[in-house]
Amino acid sequence: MGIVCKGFGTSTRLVARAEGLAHIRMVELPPPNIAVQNPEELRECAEKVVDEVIAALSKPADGAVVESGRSATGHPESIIFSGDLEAVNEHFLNNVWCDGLPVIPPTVAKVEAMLRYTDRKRDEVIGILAPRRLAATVWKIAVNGVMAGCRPEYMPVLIALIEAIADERFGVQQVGSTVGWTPLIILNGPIAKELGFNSGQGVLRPQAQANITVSRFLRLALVNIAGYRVGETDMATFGRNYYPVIAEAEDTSPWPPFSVDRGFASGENVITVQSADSTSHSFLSEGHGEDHLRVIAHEFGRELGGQMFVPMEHFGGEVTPIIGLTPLIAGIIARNGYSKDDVRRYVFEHATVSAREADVNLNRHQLGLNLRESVRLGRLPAVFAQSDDPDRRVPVVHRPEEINIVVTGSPDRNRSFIAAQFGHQGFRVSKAVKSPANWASLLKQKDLVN
Amino acid sequence: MSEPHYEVVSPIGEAETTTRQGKEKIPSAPPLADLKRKKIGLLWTVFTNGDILLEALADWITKRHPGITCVKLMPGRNLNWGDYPDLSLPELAREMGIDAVIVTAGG
Repeated sequence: MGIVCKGFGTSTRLVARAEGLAHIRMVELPPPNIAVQNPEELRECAEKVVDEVIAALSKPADGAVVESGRSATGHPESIIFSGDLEAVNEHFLNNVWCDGLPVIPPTVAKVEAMLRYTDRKRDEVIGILAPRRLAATVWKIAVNGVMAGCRPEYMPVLIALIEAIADERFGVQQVGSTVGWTPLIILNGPIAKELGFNSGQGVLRPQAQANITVSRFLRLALVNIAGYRVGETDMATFGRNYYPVIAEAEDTSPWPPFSVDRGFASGENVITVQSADSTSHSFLSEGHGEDHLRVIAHEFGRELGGQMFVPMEHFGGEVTPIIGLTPLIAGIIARNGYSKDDVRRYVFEHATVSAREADVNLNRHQLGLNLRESVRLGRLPAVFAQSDDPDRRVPVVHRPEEINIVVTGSPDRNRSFIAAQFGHQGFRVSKAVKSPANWASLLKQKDLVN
Repeated sequence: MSEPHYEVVSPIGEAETTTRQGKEKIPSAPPLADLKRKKIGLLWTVFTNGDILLEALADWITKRHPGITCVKLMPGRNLNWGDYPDLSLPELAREMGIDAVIVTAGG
């Protein structure tokens, strides 16, 4: 049986039902929230529910649950509604089938147009998306792509994106956690240019159609196929809007692209997705290569050395934060002789936090937990407990290899950003974007149409 | 001039969810027939203070029902209390002779 904080009952039942458990035993704790209660209050809280817990274990499980936005039934290609633009949007809003913004009505003609840009079968299941565990078919990907405002030629990117989040390593079932993180998408390869993705100025602004609609598509797929609904299965405390896709500025980067770091060949089309609670402020740096690196390492340590130290210690043994550098800064650093691996090593060695501060954060998460205990439990490497000096500095990631470097943004600006990542919640997954055999001729037709 | 009319398809499609076991539903465990000589596993899944609440609950349970033993249930093989549950957990619970499990999350 499960014990959950008040407010998580519906979420628990919906997730359990999608996992095949129609009936469960569950007790909701009285408010406010056990994370803010002291041991005496927790003891009182336990006393209040102990009889309920025993009663639940002693009787059959139950399963009543009400959710918003019931599924349409019947064939996926059936017409489920007809009306003008306003009526369609009202219908979709009422069923929680969108993100609150107007959608493009998914007519059969629009969906068919998307399907022309893939040679995969329309009923092929690309993945099963938790928590609701609906099948993400090529057809449904196209439907949600239309709704998001995607052009038909984005279809190969949309399919690769769903392949990535359906990968068990990504942990799509964690998208609705109270952290409220949002998937961050990085695109590499010639397809970024072919489809008009922005990799330059204002890359994270909603303006370039490809960057923002592909990201919006992912949110709609999470709502409609994974079944995330705020307050039911999406328990984000605050949440974040979707980030436009980050296309890497490969032409102006001094280094091999990010996709090569991920094990793909240069020139291959690759999409990567991982969690991000936020992107940091875009901080300035100046001077020679090492001057920039010093600032970047300082900001990296500041961003990841506070509460983000806990996911680093606790959420699965690997975190993959991103350092976003403009082509200007990457170029200066490279001209001073630093490879990407050199940058990773420098940041790993110089982005640090005091052991005292790390211990405070760990103890906040779990009473008595500290660096030494974490090393003993095997959650952190030995470097984190080399002495008992509380003023010693410790890294904020496990290994240099965890650090992602992506070159993007306004080419001549001296600013950078950090995007933290949550380990097994939204773990980094990369997938090749597979375009259909007749891609070149399709692109020619697209250009004629546009 | 009248507004264009749209006939639209569903963004969700089928009504049925696909469970891990295909279309099979998992039956719930039967209720405990009695509270004599029962072993309850306590499963803590990472969240802050879930461990303290479970320990307090175990204390109340064993005070009121002396026939029950509560044990900290590891979330899988080679894992520590408080780690993220692993697929090896059910097997481990069976080996430990667990009659029921209480799982807690936090805020």
